[in-house]
Amino acid sequence: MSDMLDRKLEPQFKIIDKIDIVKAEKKTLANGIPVYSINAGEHELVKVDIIFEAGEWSQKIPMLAYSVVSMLCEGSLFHTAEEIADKFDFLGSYIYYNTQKHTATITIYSLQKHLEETLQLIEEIIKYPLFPEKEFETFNNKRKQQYTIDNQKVELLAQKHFCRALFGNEHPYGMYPELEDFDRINTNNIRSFHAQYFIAENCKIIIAGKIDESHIDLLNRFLGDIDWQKMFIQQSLKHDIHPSIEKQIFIEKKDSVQSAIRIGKVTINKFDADFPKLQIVNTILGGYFGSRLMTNIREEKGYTYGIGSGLVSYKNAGYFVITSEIGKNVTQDAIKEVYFEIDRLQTELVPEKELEVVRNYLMGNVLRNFDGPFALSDTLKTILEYDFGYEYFETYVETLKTITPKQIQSIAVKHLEKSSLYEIIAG
Amino acid sequence: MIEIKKFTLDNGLTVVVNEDKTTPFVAFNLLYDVGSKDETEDKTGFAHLFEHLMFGGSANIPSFDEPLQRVGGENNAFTNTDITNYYITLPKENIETAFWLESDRMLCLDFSQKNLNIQKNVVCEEYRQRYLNKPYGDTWLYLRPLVYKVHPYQWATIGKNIEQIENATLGDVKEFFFKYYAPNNAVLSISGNITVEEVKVLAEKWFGPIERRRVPYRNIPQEPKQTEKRTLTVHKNVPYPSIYKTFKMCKRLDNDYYITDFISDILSNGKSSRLYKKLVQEKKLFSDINAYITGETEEGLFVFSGNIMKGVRVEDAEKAIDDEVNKLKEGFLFEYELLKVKNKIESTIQFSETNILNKAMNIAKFELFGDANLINSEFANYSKVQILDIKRVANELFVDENCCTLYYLPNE
Repeated sequence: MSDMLDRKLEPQFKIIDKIDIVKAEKKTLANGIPVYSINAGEHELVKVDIIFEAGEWSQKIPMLAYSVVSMLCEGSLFHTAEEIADKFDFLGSYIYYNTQKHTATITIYSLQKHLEETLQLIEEIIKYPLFPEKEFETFNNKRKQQYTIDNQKVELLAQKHFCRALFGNEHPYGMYPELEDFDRINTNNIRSFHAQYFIAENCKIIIAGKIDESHIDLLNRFLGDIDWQKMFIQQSLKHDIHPSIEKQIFIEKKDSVQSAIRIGKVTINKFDADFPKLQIVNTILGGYFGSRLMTNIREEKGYTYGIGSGLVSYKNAGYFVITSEIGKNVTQDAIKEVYFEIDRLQTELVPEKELEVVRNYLMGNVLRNFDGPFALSDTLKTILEYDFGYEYFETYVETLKTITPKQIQSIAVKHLEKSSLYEIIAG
Repeated sequence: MIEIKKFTLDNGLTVVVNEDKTTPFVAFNLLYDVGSKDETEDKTGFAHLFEHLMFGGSANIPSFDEPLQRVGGENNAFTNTDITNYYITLPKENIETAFWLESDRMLCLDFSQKNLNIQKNVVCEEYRQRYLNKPYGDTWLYLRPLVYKVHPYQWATIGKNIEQIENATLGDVKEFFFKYYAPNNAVLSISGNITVEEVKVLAEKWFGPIERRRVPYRNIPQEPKQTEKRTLTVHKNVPYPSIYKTFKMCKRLDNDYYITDFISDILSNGKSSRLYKKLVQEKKLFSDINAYITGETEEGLFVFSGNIMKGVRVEDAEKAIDDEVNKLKEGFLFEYELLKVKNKIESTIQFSETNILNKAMNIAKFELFGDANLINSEFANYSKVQILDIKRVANELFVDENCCTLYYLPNE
């Protein structure tokens, strides 16, 4: 059978130039808690994020914030840890407890028909947790053991020393625990952290799914009461950055067969007008599978299974980082190529063809970020702490459409100066 | 409920479609019925290495990734013991690009020695990163050959060792391609904002002209019944002892599969499950313990894996697992517990149906099992499970002669 197609010819394609965003509707519970309600999707499911300004920024001991939010489900005034676990499992509700740099989040995935019972239990563990001694001890011992295991991983060692070098170990962005830090956490400091931060004034909620008024009513019923207002505004703590003077750090791990590397620096965050442009520069360098780092170091040299770069924005600073795990005998060769690629961004204009790929690829990602209720909710979360509105995404899309090779070059020169980069190798 | 329409091209390519208008995307999934179980013992890791080569350009298109990224697409692939699966998501307007790219690499790859050499390196680094350079990372490299003596499940998909990957030749690559990468050895599944009529036109246009190939009859040596319990102890540079206890279970399409999976949920799905409650919270023997099934097409494994708490004797930890197993064998179960597992399964299934890529991967898998519509009986299959079923299967499954245990201990 003969093949009549011209297979060399790429099919016609359309460039995405408009993103339809289902925007959140902002409502307020009786006690003032803002609720961002996203009504999207056709399944009888719901996702709720209950967000407290109670992250690592607020803690004075490493891991305290995480311990608090994780221990919420370990016993309340009315139910034991076992009963709580049993109830959530029986409802088929999935509950996740997490901390970020500035926030602690309780995320609920539930069938709509079980939302009421789930929220009833959530109210209980947020407002009336007991933090029992016995459960805490088990929790902490487990964490210690996991920590010891993780500490053998080169990527973790590299990441820890990288963040410490950039921000200093006292700063929340550079704070990594040592084993003895686990013994500084106890049910007393957990209780007082909870009392101080898990209050209505410190809370935001995002609800997403096929949402109507009845779901907001449920939130009001269980979380809208004035009984957990404390009538004071939390003072935000201050932390200063103390970077390491030494820019090159080597952490030896004798028996390892690969080295983990981190190369990067403190940089701008989402408040800076350059941020969207730097995101595009980052993508070209190491932010997608076809990036220059991947192409050069994996696809042309085979030095690694993967290499990438990332741009992390926190509320008070950001950082840029290149990460990889590389065969021990080629680590230095790979690092040389990393600098070569940064240099090339600073000295040569990005070809239009490459920019077109990156532009369209990133537009696809923007479209993904607003596809369905759960993505919409995750995306909204990324801007809430900056108090941005949806205009932020419009600016980003506009930048994506209009950025020029010349601008890319000048951003690379401005923000990726080689002498400012830290280089951490573990292995 | 996932609505499925399907058709087959003259060359044998089966196409399964789920229309989902709630998204601006389409997920495009191409499953090849070849996995590491189709390898020979002197050339292990080959199916996976081959997956890497599929991204190195095809007969008419020099790069796979770039044109896809240019139209806003994302893609990846995975290989396991049973299948090799390639997947793409892209904006619905640009779906034809997926047909163009994926059909060209089914038609013929661009066999290049240079690409082979580089991807051999990449896979060797993957081997080091995922299996050799992480605490407990090589567990399955010990476990599989302990459990399987004859069946090709005895080697991990990544390969027995790095040397066999390094030894792969371009001749091997070509042979493998024409043996297994055939329209009549694949299932194409699509979920997203597209109609089955549109899919038909595109499938005929791009995959229709590819000729059927002679796919070898699969003749995998069957594992003889194990007759006595096996153990292996390794000492490594890890901080705490771990235990892995496995029991060979039924095939994926056996009726008891759902009962066996149900048992793993009773034991270890969620914080209220038995192992977590008893062995972690109450007795403090493990920092982490799981029971799960590997879910392979042929006889897979029921696995207990636990990291033992500092200071606890391995024998005591193991005995506690055995105690939990014995309770099941005696039928010590409550209706409430079963209902709880069923509720959780219902919820998990409903959430998985919100994601088009998930749906596309799953319907392809079920089509390979015989009929994509089987996916819609999953919940019913779990719902049917009764206490007596669990008791029966537990008694058949959890016997010493069917058990292999790996003790993964710190250096002395």
